[in-house]
Amino acid sequence: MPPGTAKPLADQLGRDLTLYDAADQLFGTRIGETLNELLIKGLMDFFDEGQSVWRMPGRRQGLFRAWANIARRNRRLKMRGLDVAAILDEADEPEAMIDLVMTRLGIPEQRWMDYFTVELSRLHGWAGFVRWRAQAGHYYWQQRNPADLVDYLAVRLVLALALLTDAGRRLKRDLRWEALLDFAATHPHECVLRRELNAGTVLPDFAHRIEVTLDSGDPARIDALYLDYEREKTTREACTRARRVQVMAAAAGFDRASLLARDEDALHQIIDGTYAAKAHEGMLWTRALERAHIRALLGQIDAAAEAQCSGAPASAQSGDATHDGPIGKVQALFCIDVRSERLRRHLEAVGDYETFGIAGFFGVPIAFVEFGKGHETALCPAVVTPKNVAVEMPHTQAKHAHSLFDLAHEVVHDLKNTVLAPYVTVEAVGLLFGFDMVGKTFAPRAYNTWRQRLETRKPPARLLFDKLSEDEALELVANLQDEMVLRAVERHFAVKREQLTSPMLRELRETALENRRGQTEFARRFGVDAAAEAVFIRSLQAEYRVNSDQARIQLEHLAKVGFRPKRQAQLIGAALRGIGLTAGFGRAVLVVGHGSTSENNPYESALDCGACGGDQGLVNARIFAAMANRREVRQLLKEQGITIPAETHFIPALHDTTTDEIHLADLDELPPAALTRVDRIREDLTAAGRLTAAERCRELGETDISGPDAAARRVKRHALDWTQVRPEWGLSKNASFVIGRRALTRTLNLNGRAFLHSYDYRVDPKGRLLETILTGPLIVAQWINLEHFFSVVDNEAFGSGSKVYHNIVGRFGVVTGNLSDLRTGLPAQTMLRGDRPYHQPMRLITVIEAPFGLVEDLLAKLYKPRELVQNGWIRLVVLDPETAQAQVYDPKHGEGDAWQPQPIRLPA
Amino acid sequence: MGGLLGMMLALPFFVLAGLCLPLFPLSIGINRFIQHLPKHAADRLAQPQAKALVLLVLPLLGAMLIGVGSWLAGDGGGWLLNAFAFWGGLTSLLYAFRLLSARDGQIWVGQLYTSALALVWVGVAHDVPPLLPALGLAASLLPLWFLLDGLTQRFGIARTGLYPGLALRMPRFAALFIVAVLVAVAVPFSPAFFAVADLAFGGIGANELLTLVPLSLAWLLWTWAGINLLAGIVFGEPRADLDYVDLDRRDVLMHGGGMVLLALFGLVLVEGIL
Repeated sequence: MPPGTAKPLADQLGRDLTLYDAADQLFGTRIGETLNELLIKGLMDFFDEGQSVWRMPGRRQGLFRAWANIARRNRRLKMRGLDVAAILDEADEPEAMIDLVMTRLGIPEQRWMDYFTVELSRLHGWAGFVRWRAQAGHYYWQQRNPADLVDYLAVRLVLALALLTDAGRRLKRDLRWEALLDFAATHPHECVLRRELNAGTVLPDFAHRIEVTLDSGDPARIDALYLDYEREKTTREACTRARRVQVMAAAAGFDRASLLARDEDALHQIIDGTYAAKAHEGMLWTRALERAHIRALLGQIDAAAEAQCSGAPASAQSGDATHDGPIGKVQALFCIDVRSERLRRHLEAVGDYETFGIAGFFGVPIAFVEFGKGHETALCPAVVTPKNVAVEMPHTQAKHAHSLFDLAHEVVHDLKNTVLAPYVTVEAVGLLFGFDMVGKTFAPRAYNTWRQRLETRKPPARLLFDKLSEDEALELVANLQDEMVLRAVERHFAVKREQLTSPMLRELRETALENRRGQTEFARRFGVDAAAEAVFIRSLQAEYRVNSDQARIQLEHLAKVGFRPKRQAQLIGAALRGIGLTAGFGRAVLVVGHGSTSENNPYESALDCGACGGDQGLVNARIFAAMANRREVRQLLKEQGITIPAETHFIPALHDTTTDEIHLADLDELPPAALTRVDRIREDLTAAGRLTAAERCRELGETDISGPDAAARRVKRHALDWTQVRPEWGLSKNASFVIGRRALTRTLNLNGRAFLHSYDYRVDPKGRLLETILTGPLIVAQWINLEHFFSVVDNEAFGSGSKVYHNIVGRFGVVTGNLSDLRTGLPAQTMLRGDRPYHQPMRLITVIEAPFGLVEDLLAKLYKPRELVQNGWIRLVVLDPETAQAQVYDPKHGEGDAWQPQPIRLPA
Repeated sequence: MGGLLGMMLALPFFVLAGLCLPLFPLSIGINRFIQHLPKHAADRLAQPQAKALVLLVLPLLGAMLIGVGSWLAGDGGGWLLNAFAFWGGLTSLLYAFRLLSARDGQIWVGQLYTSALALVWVGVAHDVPPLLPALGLAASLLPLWFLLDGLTQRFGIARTGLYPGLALRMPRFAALFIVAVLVAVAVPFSPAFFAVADLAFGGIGANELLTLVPLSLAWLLWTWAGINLLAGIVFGEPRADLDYVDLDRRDVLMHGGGMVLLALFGLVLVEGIL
């Protein structure tokens, strides 16, 4: 939205207002709206990632050129009076085009940067997306269809120039920089009235008079009306202010009479003071919320320590982890995510479990290639670039044929996506969609269970995460090449495998790779003449890519697959040391990643694991567990001082945060003896999950929940219900990040509001592990926190508004309605309960249990965390176990007094 | 009656009816009247209640004049009525199109009134009795007329874009306003809808093109204009510098009651169709 009309036009032009904003405000044109509409349509066409059937041609040339090619021939633009082609003919490069438009509009060069900023802020969602794409060089669609902000700006400015020219022609006015400033200088009163009228800030009862007077064009009438209007507006504003102060005073216990008893100056001071304070009001409430939260959190920790000292109920509640149950002590590694806190608390209460918090990718950054998918997915935080690839490989024969249901599904969706077929499809199979809709709406659980039975399931698969030796890689490539040769022979000569021998295949392959020359045995056996043989070999090289260049590329790709044993031990060792689990291993160690299940939800990845790049954490958990279970890795870990007993088994699992179900994975990898414990663990996990579901149901405002069983059923329904706009609250209400021993928080109910990262300062005298936490998990947690913060303080501008009106665009984002700015941030249903905020806007309260000096040294050394702390993006509290003091950092107190100490007792 | 003389005698009656069931340019008068602002307190004819009464009486008068004209024209007056139907269709489309850009409440109602009542001529050409459809179309505008008057009393003017976001600040008013706009643009089951249906069913057998083109196009444009009206008043971000005062319970009952009465009138129209 363009800013208000309070400041003079000359001050705002180029800083807050573009030329067309000014024209819209002065002459009631709607250039800004039209420009956004035309631009968004072009952007939707260009950035489409497979949603549209007829794709924009020429996208590989980049955004500006592809758009220009279409715009030159766009008759609709021409019919609207926009001569875009004439502008585009004057420059080919986007940079030159920007220069041309800015010069033609007469904008002084020293104002260009400000002007560009205003232009970019008009559709900040799209501009942000283009900027992200430009920086994501590895992103497939960016490599294929490149775009950057220069392109974006050039397109925007070309449209702006065309629209301004057209509007100027119709209004018979010059709408360039100088002319508008001149108009503002020579017609100051008319300018104010016009802006008030067209910007929607006019006093409603004056609107008609202003319109009529402006139409008359009589300067004397305009000046007279201006004086009337200004007087009335000032009076009404004063009345509004006085009334508001009166309401506030009444709320504070002062009646009207006592207010009026004060002299005029005092009343002015009160009113001015109140309005001046309004600018800082938001921050005041934020600080109050933070302060209350810090006080409560530190109070809880102190109380827990006191209870522990007095040997009272707190320790009994804590469930002493040293008492092993019938299955022995079970340890569980959970993601630091706030949603793990509830489950960890209930799991510890249910049985003999010791839980740890660690970033949900478990310190194993990988690019994952899922079975049946041709691309890599980075399963690690966005701050990390994975160097190693893990590949999913089925260990049963994969069925090539799809089920009839899948086939029908595919056909119907293909028909739906074509241009003309939907008109027929609706008549022919529309009823089927009706059944689908009824099933999904009225019996989501039963219907989805039935549908899942119809769909083809992915075959069981194992993960290839071991580094291949050179011989293994060569063998793999050779096998692949043989497979290609086989297919080619069958297709070209109709010769089946049983008619061929391995030496024949090998010979053909070597010929294609140019390692040998001359006639092949295959040609001799099947009577293929020399010319046909040469054509076939060329086809093998070009069409089937059996050539030395391709082989080299394949070997390079294979070199990225997996980790060497030493690296595996290094990763496992670092993760275990980071959480302080270096000894006292139980017989079962659960590695619990997390993900979510929901239907019809474009924001599903926002509910998955942030540490896994917005994906589910099971793959990382499986790789971590598999590595940690390897004898070779354990041997190497022993050399590092971490001895994992032979009877300890790491078991991967997935916590579904929508249903609070925990599924154990890779149980077929466990020895039979370990399997005996699994049933009991499953029961405990189910019980803890149900208790968590019951707690979450209260937060979700669910009624008629008779107990944990009913709660589990209810949340399961949410996960499968396509009409559910809030399958879970996700990370809403996140408030703090506790880096320390579990003992600090074990007895506390943190209501799913705390990120919990296990850390034991006693095993980290040099602070290396803490450094890793501060530069990785803390940064990600702070991103999440601020995303929620901004989404709740202004959900329309920084969040994405209501989900109800959202539509997916181009398979990469959402818009509101059919055309809008690309929505950023989180939807209202994640942030608000009704019209009240559910998430409390607080900066992340980061609590570190470590010696104060160590934290200070690290902050001095680490740029990013230091900036976050000193610039007030997070609130830092250091719990110093050596001095029994909590140091609360508050930059408001100035550099010297920023650390505010207070005594605190910490649990042993 | 009938014959050439009958037709010549009928013509002035039809033209006079064209003032009541407005045909362009005769429609300028009624639109001027609707937009006329009171110059002083005693200007009773400019009061909203008086204007509402005129809006209801004019269709009755128009129907009566058409009745007399038809009697005078006799059986041979078909071509004359067809010409008036064509004229009515064009008038309706012209005003429906202009409605899209109308921002002022009174202009909006005036143009919709003209566009709607001009359609009655389409039915008249095909022997649809004009009284009930004309009354149905005119009466359907009354709730909106009074609610727009409420806006004028609150804000000094009833116009889109000046005080958006009524749904957030005046939810009761906004709810009634939405219903009133939908009733005015003849959404299904409003009296205006049954009136349009009456005209369509009556005329479709005689001349599909002359009946359906103006009716369906005008209806489409009304709906579009209705959405524009709602978008500029009910939805959007409310202004912080204005005081929004919602309807009290008595007003809600009064407006709601009026709409229920209209719905009952719609039933009479259904009976007319059946």
